[in-house]
Amino acid sequence: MVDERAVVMVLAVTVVTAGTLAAITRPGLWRLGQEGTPAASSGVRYGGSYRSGRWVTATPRRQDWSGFQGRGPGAAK
Amino acid sequence: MGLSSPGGRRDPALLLWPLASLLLPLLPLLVLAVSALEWPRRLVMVVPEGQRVLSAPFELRDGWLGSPRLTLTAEIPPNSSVELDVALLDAGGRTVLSLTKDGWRASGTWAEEGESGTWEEGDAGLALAMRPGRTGRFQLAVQLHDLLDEAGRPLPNPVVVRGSIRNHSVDAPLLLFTAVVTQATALVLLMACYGIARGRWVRRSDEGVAAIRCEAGGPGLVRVGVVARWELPHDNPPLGQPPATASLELRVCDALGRPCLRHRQTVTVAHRSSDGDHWLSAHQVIHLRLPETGSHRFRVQLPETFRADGDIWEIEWLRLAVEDGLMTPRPVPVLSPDAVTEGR
Repeated sequence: MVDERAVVMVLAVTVVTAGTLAAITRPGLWRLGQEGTPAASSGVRYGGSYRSGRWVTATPRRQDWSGFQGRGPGAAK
Repeated sequence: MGLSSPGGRRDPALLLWPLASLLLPLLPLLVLAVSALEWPRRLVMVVPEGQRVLSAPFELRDGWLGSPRLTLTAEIPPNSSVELDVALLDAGGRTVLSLTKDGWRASGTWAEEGESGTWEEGDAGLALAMRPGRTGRFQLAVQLHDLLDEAGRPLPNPVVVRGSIRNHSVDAPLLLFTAVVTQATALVLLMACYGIARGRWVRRSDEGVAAIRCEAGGPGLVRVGVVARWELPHDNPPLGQPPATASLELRVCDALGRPCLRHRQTVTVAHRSSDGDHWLSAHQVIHLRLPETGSHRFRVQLPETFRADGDIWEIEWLRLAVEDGLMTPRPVPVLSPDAVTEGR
Protein backbone atom coordinates (compact mmCIF):
# COMPACT_ATOMS: atom_id res chain seq x y z
CA MET A 1 0.00 0.00 0.00
CA VAL A 2 1.37 3.38 -1.03
CA ASP A 3 1.85 5.79 1.85
CA GLU A 4 -0.29 8.84 1.06
CA ARG A 5 2.24 11.06 2.83
CA ALA A 6 4.94 10.00 0.38
CA VAL A 7 2.53 10.72 -2.48
CA VAL A 8 1.95 14.27 -1.21
CA MET A 9 5.72 14.77 -0.84
CA VAL A 10 6.28 13.55 -4.42
CA LEU A 11 3.50 15.89 -5.55
CA ALA A 12 5.17 18.86 -3.82
CA VAL A 13 8.54 18.04 -5.40
CA THR A 14 6.89 17.62 -8.82
CA VAL A 15 5.08 20.97 -8.54
CA VAL A 16 8.18 22.90 -7.54
CA THR A 17 10.34 21.22 -10.19
CA ALA A 18 7.88 21.67 -13.04
CA GLY A 19 7.01 25.26 -12.13
CA THR A 20 10.62 26.36 -11.64
CA LEU A 21 11.86 24.69 -14.83
CA ALA A 22 9.00 26.15 -16.87
CA ALA A 23 9.71 29.63 -15.46
CA ILE A 24 13.40 29.35 -16.39
CA THR A 25 13.20 27.64 -19.78
CA ARG A 26 9.87 29.22 -20.84
CA PRO A 27 9.12 26.57 -23.46
CA GLY A 28 6.15 28.47 -24.92
CA LEU A 29 8.03 31.68 -25.56
CA TRP A 30 7.93 33.01 -29.14
CA ARG A 31 11.15 32.60 -31.13
CA LEU A 32 12.43 34.73 -34.01
CA GLY A 33 11.47 32.99 -37.23
CA GLN A 34 8.46 31.28 -35.69
CA GLU A 35 5.13 31.83 -37.42
CA GLY A 36 3.29 34.98 -36.34
CA THR A 37 4.51 37.56 -33.83
CA PRO A 38 5.33 37.70 -30.12
CA ALA A 39 2.61 38.47 -27.62
CA ALA A 40 1.81 42.19 -27.80
CA SER A 41 1.80 44.40 -24.74
CA SER A 42 -0.63 47.30 -24.31
CA GLY A 43 -0.75 49.71 -27.25
CA VAL A 44 1.64 47.68 -29.43
CA ARG A 45 0.97 46.83 -33.08
CA TYR A 46 3.38 44.67 -35.04
CA GLY A 47 4.40 45.90 -38.44
CA GLY A 48 4.34 42.45 -39.95
CA SER A 49 4.59 38.79 -39.07
CA TYR A 50 6.67 35.74 -39.83
CA ARG A 51 5.53 33.48 -42.62
CA SER A 52 7.57 30.42 -43.53
CA GLY A 53 10.51 31.76 -41.56
CA ARG A 54 10.56 35.19 -43.24
CA TRP A 55 9.52 38.52 -41.75
CA VAL A 56 6.78 39.88 -44.02
CA THR A 57 6.08 43.56 -43.54
CA ALA A 58 2.40 44.42 -43.40
CA THR A 59 0.97 47.12 -45.62
CA PRO A 60 1.54 50.42 -43.78
CA ARG A 61 -1.74 51.61 -42.33
CA ARG A 62 -2.10 54.54 -40.00
CA GLN A 63 -4.27 53.56 -37.08
CA ASP A 64 -6.81 56.13 -36.07
CA TRP A 65 -6.46 56.54 -32.34
CA SER A 66 -7.35 59.47 -30.17
CA GLY A 67 -4.00 59.68 -28.41
CA PHE A 68 -4.96 60.04 -24.77
CA GLN A 69 -6.20 56.84 -23.20
CA GLY A 70 -6.19 57.97 -19.57
CA ARG A 71 -9.18 57.37 -17.37
CA GLY A 72 -9.06 60.88 -15.98
CA PRO A 73 -8.58 62.38 -12.55
CA GLY A 74 -11.55 60.57 -10.95
CA ALA A 75 -9.96 57.19 -11.50
CA ALA A 76 -6.47 58.36 -10.64
CA LYS A 77 -7.36 59.72 -7.22
CA MET B 1 5.49 20.43 26.81
CA GLY B 2 7.14 21.62 29.94
CA LEU B 3 7.30 18.13 31.36
CA SER B 4 10.48 17.02 33.01
CA SER B 5 9.98 13.40 33.66
CA PRO B 6 12.62 11.02 34.94
CA GLY B 7 10.80 8.25 33.13
CA GLY B 8 10.58 10.17 29.86
CA ARG B 9 12.59 9.20 26.79
CA ARG B 10 12.71 10.20 23.17
CA ASP B 11 10.25 8.33 21.04
CA PRO B 12 10.74 6.58 17.68
CA ALA B 13 7.55 8.30 16.56
CA LEU B 14 9.76 11.29 15.75
CA LEU B 15 9.21 11.98 12.03
CA LEU B 16 11.56 14.55 10.53
CA TRP B 17 11.53 14.11 6.75
CA PRO B 18 8.23 16.01 6.14
CA LEU B 19 9.90 19.13 7.53
CA ALA B 20 12.11 19.14 4.42
CA SER B 21 9.02 20.07 2.39
CA LEU B 22 9.16 23.53 3.99
CA LEU B 23 12.37 24.18 2.04
CA LEU B 24 10.76 23.46 -1.34
CA PRO B 25 9.05 26.87 -1.81
CA LEU B 26 12.45 28.49 -1.35
CA LEU B 27 13.68 27.05 -4.67
CA PRO B 28 11.55 29.27 -6.99
CA LEU B 29 12.16 32.26 -4.72
CA LEU B 30 15.90 31.60 -4.88
CA VAL B 31 15.77 31.44 -8.70
CA LEU B 32 13.89 34.75 -8.70
CA ALA B 33 16.50 36.35 -6.42
CA VAL B 34 19.40 35.07 -8.53
CA SER B 35 17.79 36.28 -11.76
CA ALA B 36 17.50 39.77 -10.24
CA LEU B 37 21.28 39.84 -9.91
CA GLU B 38 21.71 40.00 -13.70
CA TRP B 39 22.81 43.51 -14.60
CA PRO B 40 20.75 44.74 -17.58
CA ARG B 41 22.33 46.32 -20.61
CA ARG B 42 21.15 49.95 -20.73
CA LEU B 43 20.33 51.85 -23.90
CA VAL B 44 19.71 55.58 -24.20
CA MET B 45 18.63 57.25 -27.41
CA VAL B 46 17.72 60.87 -28.07
CA VAL B 47 15.16 60.74 -30.86
CA PRO B 48 14.03 63.89 -32.70
CA GLU B 49 10.68 63.79 -34.47
CA GLY B 50 10.83 62.02 -37.81
CA GLN B 51 14.44 60.85 -37.59
CA ARG B 52 15.48 57.20 -37.40
CA VAL B 53 17.93 56.64 -34.55
CA LEU B 54 19.97 53.49 -34.12
CA SER B 55 20.87 52.14 -30.71
CA ALA B 56 24.26 50.78 -29.73
CA PRO B 57 24.65 47.12 -30.77
CA PHE B 58 23.79 44.57 -28.13
CA GLU B 59 23.81 40.81 -27.85
CA LEU B 60 20.75 38.62 -27.55
CA ARG B 61 21.62 35.16 -26.27
CA ASP B 62 19.77 31.99 -26.97
CA GLY B 63 19.77 29.17 -24.46
CA TRP B 64 17.73 27.43 -21.82
CA LEU B 65 18.76 29.62 -18.88
CA GLY B 66 16.11 32.29 -19.00
CA SER B 67 15.25 34.29 -22.09
CA PRO B 68 15.95 37.76 -23.48
CA ARG B 69 13.64 40.54 -22.36
CA LEU B 70 13.79 43.98 -23.90
CA THR B 71 12.02 47.05 -22.49
CA LEU B 72 11.75 50.55 -23.95
CA THR B 73 10.28 53.70 -22.43
CA ALA B 74 9.79 57.01 -24.22
CA GLU B 75 10.12 59.97 -21.85
CA ILE B 76 7.50 62.18 -23.40
CA PRO B 77 6.29 65.45 -21.83
CA PRO B 78 3.14 65.53 -19.68
CA ASN B 79 -0.14 65.76 -21.60
CA SER B 80 1.26 64.50 -24.86
CA SER B 81 0.97 61.49 -27.11
CA VAL B 82 3.33 59.86 -29.56
CA GLU B 83 3.68 57.06 -32.05
CA LEU B 84 6.93 55.14 -31.59
CA ASP B 85 8.16 52.93 -34.43
CA VAL B 86 10.67 50.31 -33.27
CA ALA B 87 12.55 47.88 -35.50
CA LEU B 88 14.87 45.11 -34.37
CA LEU B 89 17.76 44.74 -36.78
CA ASP B 90 20.09 41.78 -37.03
CA ALA B 91 23.88 42.01 -37.48
CA GLY B 92 23.40 42.51 -41.21
CA GLY B 93 21.05 45.45 -40.69
CA ARG B 94 17.96 43.52 -41.81
CA THR B 95 14.69 44.11 -39.97
CA VAL B 96 13.76 40.95 -38.11
CA LEU B 97 10.88 42.47 -36.13
CA SER B 98 9.06 45.77 -36.24
CA LEU B 99 6.32 47.25 -34.13
CA THR B 100 4.56 50.50 -33.31
CA LYS B 101 3.77 51.68 -29.83
CA ASP B 102 1.01 54.23 -29.24
CA GLY B 103 2.23 56.12 -26.19
CA TRP B 104 0.60 58.78 -24.08
CA ARG B 105 1.01 60.65 -20.84
CA ALA B 106 -1.57 62.73 -19.02
CA SER B 107 -1.64 64.64 -15.75
CA GLY B 108 -3.83 67.13 -13.94
CA THR B 109 -5.34 68.09 -10.63
CA TRP B 110 -8.44 66.88 -8.84
CA ALA B 111 -10.61 68.44 -6.15
CA GLU B 112 -13.40 66.68 -4.32
CA GLU B 113 -15.15 67.26 -1.00
CA GLY B 114 -12.60 69.81 0.14
CA GLU B 115 -9.61 67.67 -0.78
CA SER B 116 -7.36 68.18 -3.78
CA GLY B 117 -4.27 66.71 -5.35
CA THR B 118 -2.57 65.84 -8.62
CA TRP B 119 -2.83 62.76 -10.78
CA GLU B 120 -0.70 61.36 -13.55
CA GLU B 121 -1.19 58.42 -15.87
CA GLY B 122 0.69 57.21 -18.88
CA ASP B 123 1.60 54.33 -21.12
CA ALA B 124 4.70 55.09 -23.13
CA GLY B 125 6.67 51.88 -22.64
CA LEU B 126 6.78 48.41 -24.06
CA ALA B 127 8.25 45.06 -23.10
CA LEU B 128 9.29 42.34 -25.52
CA ALA B 129 10.06 38.79 -24.38
CA MET B 130 11.27 36.36 -27.04
CA ARG B 131 14.08 34.09 -28.11
CA PRO B 132 16.43 35.15 -30.90
CA GLY B 133 16.75 31.63 -32.36
CA ARG B 134 20.51 31.82 -32.12
CA THR B 135 22.86 34.08 -30.22
CA GLY B 136 23.82 37.19 -32.15
CA ARG B 137 24.25 40.94 -32.19
CA PHE B 138 21.25 43.16 -32.78
CA GLN B 139 20.37 46.83 -32.90
CA LEU B 140 17.22 48.83 -32.40
CA ALA B 141 16.03 51.48 -34.83
CA VAL B 142 13.62 53.93 -33.23
CA GLN B 143 11.57 56.62 -34.94
CA LEU B 144 9.03 59.08 -33.52
CA HIS B 145 5.83 60.23 -35.19
CA ASP B 146 3.10 62.57 -34.13
CA LEU B 147 4.50 63.88 -30.88
CA LEU B 148 1.46 66.02 -30.07
CA ASP B 149 0.16 67.94 -27.10
CA GLU B 150 -3.36 67.71 -25.68
CA ALA B 151 -4.75 70.05 -28.31
CA GLY B 152 -3.13 68.10 -31.13
CA ARG B 153 -0.35 70.61 -31.74
CA PRO B 154 3.12 69.20 -32.62
CA LEU B 155 5.79 69.35 -29.92
CA PRO B 156 9.26 70.14 -31.25
CA ASN B 157 11.44 68.68 -28.51
CA PRO B 158 13.36 65.44 -29.06
CA VAL B 159 12.38 62.53 -26.83
CA VAL B 160 14.71 60.43 -24.74
CA VAL B 161 14.03 56.72 -25.20
CA ARG B 162 15.54 54.47 -22.54
CA GLY B 163 15.88 50.74 -22.94
CA SER B 164 17.14 47.78 -20.98
CA ILE B 165 18.05 44.28 -22.13
CA ARG B 166 18.27 41.19 -19.98
CA ASN B 167 19.38 37.94 -21.53
CA HIS B 168 18.35 35.63 -18.69
CA SER B 169 14.98 36.88 -17.55
CA VAL B 170 12.61 34.38 -15.95
CA ASP B 171 8.85 34.16 -15.61
CA ALA B 172 8.49 35.89 -12.23
CA PRO B 173 4.69 35.44 -11.85
CA LEU B 174 5.03 31.72 -12.54
CA LEU B 175 7.83 31.44 -9.94
CA LEU B 176 5.70 33.20 -7.32
CA PHE B 177 2.70 31.03 -8.19
CA THR B 178 4.89 27.92 -7.91
CA ALA B 179 6.14 29.02 -4.48
CA VAL B 180 2.59 29.56 -3.22
CA VAL B 181 1.28 26.23 -4.55
CA THR B 182 4.31 24.36 -3.19
CA GLN B 183 3.87 25.99 0.21
CA ALA B 184 0.22 24.94 0.25
CA THR B 185 1.18 21.37 -0.69
CA ALA B 186 3.83 21.33 2.05
CA LEU B 187 1.23 22.45 4.62
CA VAL B 188 -1.10 19.67 3.49
CA LEU B 189 1.78 17.21 3.96
CA LEU B 190 2.57 18.51 7.46
CA MET B 191 -1.10 18.32 8.40
CA ALA B 192 -1.29 14.74 7.10
CA CYS B 193 1.84 13.76 9.03
CA TYR B 194 1.40 15.55 12.34
CA GLY B 195 -2.20 16.74 12.56
CA ILE B 196 -4.26 13.64 11.93
CA ALA B 197 -4.71 11.09 14.71
CA ARG B 198 -5.85 7.48 14.35
CA GLY B 199 -8.46 8.16 16.99
CA ARG B 200 -9.56 11.11 19.10
CA TRP B 201 -11.74 11.14 22.19
CA VAL B 202 -12.82 14.10 24.34
CA ARG B 203 -14.51 14.19 27.74
CA ARG B 204 -15.61 17.28 29.62
CA SER B 205 -16.28 17.11 33.32
CA ASP B 206 -17.49 19.63 35.87
CA GLU B 207 -15.47 17.89 38.58
CA GLY B 208 -11.76 17.62 39.22
CA VAL B 209 -11.61 14.16 37.65
CA ALA B 210 -12.18 13.02 34.06
CA ALA B 211 -11.66 9.62 32.48
CA ILE B 212 -11.88 8.09 29.00
CA ARG B 213 -11.75 4.41 28.02
CA CYS B 214 -10.78 3.86 24.39
CA GLU B 215 -8.85 1.63 22.00
CA ALA B 216 -5.38 3.12 21.87
CA GLY B 217 -1.76 2.12 21.42
CA GLY B 218 0.44 0.74 18.67
CA PRO B 219 2.54 2.79 16.24
CA GLY B 220 2.88 6.45 17.08
CA LEU B 221 2.26 8.37 20.27
CA VAL B 222 -0.75 8.88 22.48
CA ARG B 223 -1.28 12.53 23.33
CA VAL B 224 -3.23 13.38 26.47
CA GLY B 225 -4.39 16.97 26.61
CA VAL B 226 -5.79 18.47 29.81
CA VAL B 227 -7.43 21.88 30.11
CA ALA B 228 -9.10 23.10 33.29
CA ARG B 229 -10.77 26.24 34.59
CA TRP B 230 -11.53 27.40 38.12
CA GLU B 231 -13.74 30.32 39.14
CA LEU B 232 -14.76 32.12 42.30
CA PRO B 233 -18.31 31.35 43.53
CA HIS B 234 -19.09 35.09 43.52
CA ASP B 235 -18.55 38.04 41.16
CA ASN B 236 -16.19 39.95 43.44
CA PRO B 237 -12.50 40.23 42.62
CA PRO B 238 -10.14 37.88 44.42
CA LEU B 239 -8.92 38.98 47.85
CA GLY B 240 -5.39 37.70 47.46
CA GLN B 241 -2.90 36.11 45.15
CA PRO B 242 -4.24 32.99 43.40
CA PRO B 243 -2.16 29.81 43.47
CA ALA B 244 0.55 29.56 40.82
CA THR B 245 0.62 25.77 40.43
CA ALA B 246 -1.59 22.72 40.76
CA SER B 247 -0.93 19.01 41.07
CA LEU B 248 -1.94 16.90 38.07
CA GLU B 249 -2.19 13.12 38.22
CA LEU B 250 -2.54 10.84 35.20
CA ARG B 251 -3.34 7.16 35.51
CA VAL B 252 -3.59 4.66 32.67
CA CYS B 253 -5.18 1.23 33.14
CA ASP B 254 -5.35 -1.68 30.72
CA ALA B 255 -8.41 -3.61 29.58
CA LEU B 256 -8.59 -5.54 32.84
CA GLY B 257 -8.32 -2.42 34.95
CA ARG B 258 -4.73 -3.06 35.95
CA PRO B 259 -2.75 0.16 36.33
CA CYS B 260 0.02 0.36 33.78
CA LEU B 261 1.13 3.96 34.24
CA ARG B 262 0.89 6.53 37.00
CA HIS B 263 2.32 9.98 36.52
CA ARG B 264 2.14 13.00 38.76
CA GLN B 265 3.39 16.46 37.97
CA THR B 266 2.93 20.11 38.83
CA VAL B 267 1.28 22.31 36.20
CA THR B 268 1.27 26.09 35.94
CA VAL B 269 -1.98 27.84 36.82
CA ALA B 270 -2.60 31.16 35.06
CA HIS B 271 -4.80 33.92 36.47
CA ARG B 272 -7.02 35.55 33.84
CA SER B 273 -9.57 38.33 34.00
CA SER B 274 -11.89 40.04 31.54
CA ASP B 275 -14.75 42.50 32.11
CA GLY B 276 -14.61 41.99 35.85
CA ASP B 277 -14.61 38.17 35.62
CA HIS B 278 -11.69 36.33 37.16
CA TRP B 279 -10.72 32.73 36.56
CA LEU B 280 -7.79 30.36 36.75
CA SER B 281 -6.76 28.10 33.90
CA ALA B 282 -4.31 25.27 33.41
CA HIS B 283 -3.22 23.53 30.22
CA GLN B 284 -0.98 20.50 29.89
CA VAL B 285 -0.06 18.01 27.16
CA ILE B 286 1.50 14.64 27.97
CA HIS B 287 2.81 12.15 25.40
CA LEU B 288 2.67 8.41 26.04
CA ARG B 289 3.88 5.39 24.16
CA LEU B 290 1.66 2.31 24.44
CA PRO B 291 3.28 -0.48 22.40
CA GLU B 292 0.21 -2.70 22.25
CA THR B 293 -3.14 -1.68 20.83
CA GLY B 294 -5.91 -2.36 23.29
CA SER B 295 -8.54 -0.93 25.56
CA HIS B 296 -7.03 1.62 27.95
CA ARG B 297 -8.53 3.91 30.52
CA PHE B 298 -7.02 7.39 30.88
CA ARG B 299 -7.87 9.19 34.09
CA VAL B 300 -6.66 12.67 35.06
CA GLN B 301 -7.18 14.44 38.34
CA LEU B 302 -6.72 18.08 39.31
CA PRO B 303 -7.70 19.88 42.54
CA GLU B 304 -11.44 20.52 42.89
CA THR B 305 -10.79 23.73 44.83
CA PHE B 306 -8.02 26.11 45.78
CA ARG B 307 -8.09 27.97 49.03
CA ALA B 308 -5.79 30.97 49.09
CA ASP B 309 -5.94 34.25 51.06
CA GLY B 310 -9.61 33.80 51.89
CA ASP B 311 -10.60 32.94 48.30
CA ILE B 312 -12.14 29.63 47.34
CA TRP B 313 -11.54 28.84 43.69
CA GLU B 314 -13.88 26.04 42.52
CA ILE B 315 -13.40 24.02 39.38
CA GLU B 316 -15.72 25.06 36.56
CA TRP B 317 -14.80 22.36 34.08
CA LEU B 318 -12.06 19.93 33.18
CA ARG B 319 -11.55 18.85 29.59
CA LEU B 320 -9.64 15.68 28.77
CA ALA B 321 -8.65 14.83 25.17
CA VAL B 322 -6.90 11.63 24.09
CA GLU B 323 -5.40 11.31 20.59
CA ASP B 324 -3.86 8.10 19.34
CA GLY B 325 -1.30 7.32 16.62
CA LEU B 326 0.40 10.69 16.41
CA MET B 327 3.82 11.45 14.96
CA THR B 328 5.88 14.38 16.16
CA PRO B 329 8.23 16.75 14.28
CA ARG B 330 10.42 17.42 17.31
CA PRO B 331 11.68 15.39 20.24
CA VAL B 332 9.22 15.35 23.12
CA PRO B 333 9.41 13.64 26.50
CA VAL B 334 7.43 10.42 26.33
CA LEU B 335 6.06 8.34 29.18
CA SER B 336 6.05 4.56 28.94
CA PRO B 337 3.78 1.95 30.59
CA ASP B 338 4.70 0.47 33.92
CA ALA B 339 6.18 3.82 34.90
CA VAL B 340 5.50 5.60 38.13
CA THR B 341 6.86 9.08 37.64
CA GLU B 342 6.93 12.34 39.46
CA GLY B 343 7.52 15.48 37.41
CA ARG B 344 7.67 19.14 38.19
